[in-house]
Amino acid sequence: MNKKIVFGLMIPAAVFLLNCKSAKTQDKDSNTYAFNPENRGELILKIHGMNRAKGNFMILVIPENKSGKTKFPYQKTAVAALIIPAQKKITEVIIPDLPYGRYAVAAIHDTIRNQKLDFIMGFDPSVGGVLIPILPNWPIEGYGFSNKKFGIKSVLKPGTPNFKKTSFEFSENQHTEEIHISYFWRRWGIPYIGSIIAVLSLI
Amino acid sequence: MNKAAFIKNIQKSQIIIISAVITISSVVLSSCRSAEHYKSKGETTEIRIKVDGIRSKNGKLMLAMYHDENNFTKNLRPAAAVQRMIFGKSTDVVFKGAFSPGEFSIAVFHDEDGDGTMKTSSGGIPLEGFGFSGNPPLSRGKPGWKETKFTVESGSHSETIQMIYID
Repeated sequence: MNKKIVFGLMIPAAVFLLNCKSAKTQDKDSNTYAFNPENRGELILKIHGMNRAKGNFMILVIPENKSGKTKFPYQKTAVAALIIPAQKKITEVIIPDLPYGRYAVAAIHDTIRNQKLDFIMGFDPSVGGVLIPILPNWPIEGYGFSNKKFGIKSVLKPGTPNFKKTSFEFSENQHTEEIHISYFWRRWGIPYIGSIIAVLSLI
Repeated sequence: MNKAAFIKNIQKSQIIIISAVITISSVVLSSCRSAEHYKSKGETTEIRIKVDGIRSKNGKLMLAMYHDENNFTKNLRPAAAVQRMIFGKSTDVVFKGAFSPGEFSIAVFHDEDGDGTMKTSSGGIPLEGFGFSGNPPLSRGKPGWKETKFTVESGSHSETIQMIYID
């Protein structure tokens, strides 16, 4: 086998493994939250999703950290994590017994029910961040955040917004928050790939 | 084979591919309109679960609701699940959705050390708190589907679960 090919394959593999290690070291997270657990209320989430009932919604409710640096879509720091079957159009989720404070919500529409967000390249970019310029690692399933943030910086770079942009203040007995799920792959991904195939076939 | 005829054939197939791609993308675009104007219809059932007798505020409470006997015995594919922090001796969990009417069953455990799994002794005795819907007696190991099931048809339903700690 050619030596150049072997070395060319080893470099991305090493990058992938290093990224895996850095993701694991994030587990050492101190549980210091900014909320006061004495006053509690009921949070109601209205998730605007697909036109038909298919799959589950996976929801994370994440509180603000005392230090001001909150890792946003991260399950270990979540106050509540839910799996709830998706309904037609609007799904209502009720989370009682939640202390007043600042929160952010992240939601995934898990249509295949494999309990994770699926990507076109087959792996999560937060684990191994390898991007190919023509075919970036897009999420195939829909996802959304609180505060009407979709987490799409550009067509080539769908990502997650930070905690400051998505967070909202929760200080009522009953608070409703609306979350809009964006189906990025259906809206932009398929036409993009289709146009690339069309251009390639013309050449 | 004639070269010119071969090239012509390729071009025909390319045109078919392009047209197919355009039609598929247009169909997809028309199918996903903005979701803001939708209003939900149909009946929803609300299942309100109260978990009582929680020992400490450490760790998280893991709760899973099953809609199928086979899945309950295998601990697979819950109809709905919650993992949440504890702020008192009892917490409420609400599942609201278009569940099909039928039999449900709930299993809870209190993950005190926060490792995500139930700690058991070498003999299989659970060392962390647990509970089941219907609060069945624990004389013969893990209760089955018949002892823990409850039926929900429509509207709202409430259920209380008592936590059990064996130490």
